[in-house]
Amino acid sequence: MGRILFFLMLIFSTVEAADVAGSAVTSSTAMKKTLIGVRYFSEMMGNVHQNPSRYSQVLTTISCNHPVKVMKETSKDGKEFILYGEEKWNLVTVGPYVGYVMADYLTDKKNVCFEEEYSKFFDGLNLDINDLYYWARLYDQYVQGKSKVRQ
Amino acid sequence: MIKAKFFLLISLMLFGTGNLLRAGEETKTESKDIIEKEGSKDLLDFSSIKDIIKKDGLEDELKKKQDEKRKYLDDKKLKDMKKYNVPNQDVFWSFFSELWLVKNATILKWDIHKPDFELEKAFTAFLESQGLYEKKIKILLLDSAEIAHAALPSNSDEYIFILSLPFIRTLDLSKVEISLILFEDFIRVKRGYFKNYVLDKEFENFLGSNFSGKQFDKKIIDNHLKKYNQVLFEKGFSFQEQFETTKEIDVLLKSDLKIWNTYLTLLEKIDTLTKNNSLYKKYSQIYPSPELQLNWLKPKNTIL
Repeated sequence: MGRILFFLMLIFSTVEAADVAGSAVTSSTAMKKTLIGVRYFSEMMGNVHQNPSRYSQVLTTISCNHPVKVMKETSKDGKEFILYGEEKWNLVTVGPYVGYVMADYLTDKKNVCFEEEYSKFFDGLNLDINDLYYWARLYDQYVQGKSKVRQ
Repeated sequence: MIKAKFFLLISLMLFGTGNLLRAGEETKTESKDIIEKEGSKDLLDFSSIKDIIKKDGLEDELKKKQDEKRKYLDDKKLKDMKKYNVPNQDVFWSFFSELWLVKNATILKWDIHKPDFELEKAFTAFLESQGLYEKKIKILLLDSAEIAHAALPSNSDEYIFILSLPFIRTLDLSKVEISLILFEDFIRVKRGYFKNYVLDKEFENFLGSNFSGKQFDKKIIDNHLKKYNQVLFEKGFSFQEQFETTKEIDVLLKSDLKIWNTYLTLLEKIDTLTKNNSLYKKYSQIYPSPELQLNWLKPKNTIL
């Protein structure tokens, strides 16, 4: 009986030690987040994603001129990360959520937003939650580009 | 003895009270006189200082305050009225096209996981090669063969394209060929064929108007969204419009024969597809027709 108890205690202590080791690894890889500044969402509707990918899980949906806190991450060796992925995503804090928004959709200053400028017209369209969801998805799904300025 | 003292005390008290009352009355009369005198003084003083007040600019200040209040109320009224503005054509079309995309999301099936073809890079490079600079493009890939490709009406600073994934997969199109298809749509939308079809007199008057004090006419929006469906699913473009588009592309691409030949090959591919694949039978109805386009492009055989 004593041996069994000793064995069980040994297992628990090993698991606990492994957990502690795990958290130590996490903290060693975790990066320091610093606020860069407040930016404003420039499109009609958009999504804050869990990861820097248009197909990543949506944490929350934001509308035009919604302020977001843009963060930068600094690794232990001093490397700074502001843009993520090929499509250039920013790490942002929106209310209780920390996620990613495409950098192209963020501006330094407040924008002239259609739904603000023509508020009663916009209200008159009676867009439901499904429409607004798809409008935000539309800006996830667009592939966008701009031909260069004449050289 | 006690009685005598009592009477003496009472008489003294009565005498004192009488004096006090008289003194109170005298004070009242005096203060009344002072008030009357001061009142008459005030009246007199006011008329005498009227000119001084005028000189002090108090009336001007009052007028200024009244003007400020009137301006504030006018601005507020104007601001409230502005909320009822209907967007004008400069800002309306991109919004309206996106509204159509949102309302038809389930039919068009654009909310899908798709590979990154980097079409935007290929097409912007193509536009630059054609000398078209600073053109903002948005491309939306559809997982539907209902619409093969199209450019939707948009604001002057951008272009919205929709492109069917099954269509480009069936034809096994290269990035250059896809760019040529988008370029055809680009020319059509620039020529304003789509916009002109949607924009009738009623809608033109509606855009840029104000509906303050009136009921919002949602029917007009719904009816004109249906016009998008008519163009893209049923009616398409006319022979004349298609001829003009093809001829413009012919002129623009002729300087680069390699690209021009690629365009010709592309039209041949589409022609074969529309004739053999029932899924794309409607294509020639929307864009009449690849066979005719080939005839317009191919040089005429002159018999000497």
